[in-house]
Amino acid sequence: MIEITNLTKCYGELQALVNLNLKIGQGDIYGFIGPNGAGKTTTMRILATLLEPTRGQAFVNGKNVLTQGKEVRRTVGYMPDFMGVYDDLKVFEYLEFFAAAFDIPSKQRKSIVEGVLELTDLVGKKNAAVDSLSRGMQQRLGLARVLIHDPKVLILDEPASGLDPRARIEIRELLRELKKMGKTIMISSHILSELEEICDYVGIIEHGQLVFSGTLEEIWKKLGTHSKVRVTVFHEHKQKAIELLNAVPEIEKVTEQKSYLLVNFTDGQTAGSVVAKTLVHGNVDIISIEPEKMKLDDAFLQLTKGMVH
Amino acid sequence: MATIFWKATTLSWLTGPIFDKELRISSRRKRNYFLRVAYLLILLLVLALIWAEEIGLRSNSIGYQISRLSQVGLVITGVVVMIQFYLAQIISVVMLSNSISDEVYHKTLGVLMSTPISTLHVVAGKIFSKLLQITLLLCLTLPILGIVRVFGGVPWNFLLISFCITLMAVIFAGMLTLNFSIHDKHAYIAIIRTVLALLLLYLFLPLFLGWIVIEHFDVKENAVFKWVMVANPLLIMQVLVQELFSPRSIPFSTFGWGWHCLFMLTGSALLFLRAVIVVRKKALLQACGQLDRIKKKRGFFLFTKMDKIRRVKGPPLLWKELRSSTFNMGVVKKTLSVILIAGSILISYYIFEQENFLDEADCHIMYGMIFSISGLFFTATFAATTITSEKNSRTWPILLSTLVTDWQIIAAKVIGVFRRSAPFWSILFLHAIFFTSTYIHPAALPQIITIIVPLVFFATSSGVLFSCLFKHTTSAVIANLIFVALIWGGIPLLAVLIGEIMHLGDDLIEAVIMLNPFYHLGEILNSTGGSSHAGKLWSQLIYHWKIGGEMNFIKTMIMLTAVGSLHIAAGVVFLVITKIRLRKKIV
Repeated sequence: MIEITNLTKCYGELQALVNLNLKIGQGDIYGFIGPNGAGKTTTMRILATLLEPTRGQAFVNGKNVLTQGKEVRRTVGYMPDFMGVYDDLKVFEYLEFFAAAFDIPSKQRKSIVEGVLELTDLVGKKNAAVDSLSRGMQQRLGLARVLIHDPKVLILDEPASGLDPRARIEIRELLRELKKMGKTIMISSHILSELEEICDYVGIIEHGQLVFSGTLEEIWKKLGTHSKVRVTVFHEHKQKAIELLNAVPEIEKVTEQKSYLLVNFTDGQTAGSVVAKTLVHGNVDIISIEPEKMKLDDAFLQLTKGMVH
Repeated sequence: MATIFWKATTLSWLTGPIFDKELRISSRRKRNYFLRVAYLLILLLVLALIWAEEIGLRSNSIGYQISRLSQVGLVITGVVVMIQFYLAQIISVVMLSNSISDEVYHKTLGVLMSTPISTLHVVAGKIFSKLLQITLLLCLTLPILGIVRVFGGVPWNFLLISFCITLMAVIFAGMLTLNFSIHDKHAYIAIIRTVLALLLLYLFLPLFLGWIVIEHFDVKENAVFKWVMVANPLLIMQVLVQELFSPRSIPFSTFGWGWHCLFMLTGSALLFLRAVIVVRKKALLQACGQLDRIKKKRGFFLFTKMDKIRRVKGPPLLWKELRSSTFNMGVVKKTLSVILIAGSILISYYIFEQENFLDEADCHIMYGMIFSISGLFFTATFAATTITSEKNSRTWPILLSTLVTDWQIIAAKVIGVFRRSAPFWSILFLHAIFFTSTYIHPAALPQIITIIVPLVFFATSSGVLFSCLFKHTTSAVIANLIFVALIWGGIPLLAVLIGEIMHLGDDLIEAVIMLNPFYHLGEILNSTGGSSHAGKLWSQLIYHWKIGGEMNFIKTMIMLTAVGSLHIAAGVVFLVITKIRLRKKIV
């Protein structure tokens, strides 16, 4: 649905994007993460036909963003990282304005606007002035606006920034609903735990270059988290457990943490059963054995520090 | 002790850290340097013109040139003083038009309240930093005037008095703008409100009050004139400059300029105090998160109770442009403003009717110039805010990501400017209609339309272009105002200079003037205005043009249409450039 090839964008001497390559399939939710100034917004603006790339190509639904701008805009719903509102419009008028801007026939507009108001839970606010809405409500209105022309692709730049936890959960649920409706969603966020819960794929960008792109499973694999196991034993058995585990050839090293032992395997394969067998034979009482889980935040930190290369 | 002395001498106790911040920011802004260079260039052009006019750039004898030096000195001083008097006030109004609204809009006012900075420092910092910039501009002319004084003929106290009067007028205009900028986030609204308030204070109010006092009280005209001078910088400056050229029957010291400065300073101080109080209220409301709530309540009252949802009809952007409010005022305020403006104009009609001044063509030329220059000012201002306001409210990228085409956006913006400025231009047309057959010949109306429509289109197109090119509204407004002033004021002056240098005589200036709509308007009203022309047959109307000589109505219409077409063609070129640049530098 989205295909980016060797995309480069320069602002004078500054290279915001350097030979970016990316593919997002239909119906996927793609989380786009990276530090501030990494090039996320630039990429999204190019896909929304708001910026021209210096080099390279980008296609949305098979249409070239550079040469087929109008066709791309028809397919894409773009929500910028800030909410621009017209002061003197009411919620219904605001949405109908954008419905008209997307060439929706006037007879269909009312039902469509009411539909997206319902989807975004804004029915009660349809008569309110846009600039009188709270931040959370304005973000929802932004999403409603993006959905007004039923685009196949949604490009959402920080849709949950500045929202309270309840509003963030609501937006997350809404995105899940949209995925069920078959929308392709590209979303950037600084709240990585949220992306972890809803994204099928994740792209990590730094200094305009894609450091990683793939599923979350692939990230864990790349960072080697699959070859780590967390073992919790009674305190008095800790030293004995370390000695026993260090003697196992498949185990590379055992690190003592505050409340557990972190076991690294040499062959890159998780082997909880080896640990369990060794400790049981050694008469060590086990409380728990679980694979080490890495959070997306940690993965982000490791990948953007250049630890993987 | 040293610190106290240092604080007292540097006035930091009054201006505070905001002043320092503003100075730091302004030193980084290219537009301030551009403004200084433009200001100096304008003055240099004026100097060259006066030299060419008074002495001539062609080889005159040294003796002749020396004999004319004192006269040149007088003219240069008078003209420079007048130019900087008006220019500095305009710059002051534009510079301060978003001073407080920016802080309110970016929600930094509430933040400032959580620091030891007082509202006095906020307001003083804003106003004094801008005034320092303008004073710097005024000081740029001092060396020129100092050199000119060597030519002789210019008394030293004239320079001092004119500088003080200009500074007081600048401070007053700035304070007024600052007060208006507290209430509206749009800079252009503060500018328009200030201009209207100044027109009312400096033109209509003195005229009305002076006339009442003279007619209904046993007071001599001279006494009234002196009192009006105390409160009116325009008048006192005019008299001061006139006095410079005529034999000194009245010494400058008797003008009461000291009282005038005191009066203006008191007025400015009161406005300053008001600003401090109102800004404090706003800042406290914002700090407590109440400002938005008040807006919401207001929004609730205005929209939910009173307004129905309006359905979008036709092209969406055009629909929005046609329905949006220009001044964002309530019905009561809007009605009061209309009554005030219309009342002032009607009263002036009544006074001039009593004085038989309406019988003369000059009276209608005066009204024509005031109304058309005001109309052009508002059109140029509105046009320059069309796209920058979208950029400032961050709706621009959203709009560009829709299917609305570039030409639809440009057309909607142009029509929106027409709609917004129509009330101001309608005053000119209503003037012509109101006096048709009594004081103005009916032929004037179609001719005024033929002049004004292309003029409005030209200024609108250039404004939309500047609005597309610039990020900030203030920069776009200044650029468009300078541009239209240059086209219809600067180029004719430049033509005089070039004509003199290249020995072209009056040919070039006449050719340039023939393209000037204000010259056309003046000549139209000169030939159709006043009771002697109003009753003429259409075939008896004769217009006297610089090129082409005498023309009848039909020929004049053809000539006006041809010149108007040139303006429209230039406007179309601006819009084509706008279309090319529309999607560049979106944010």
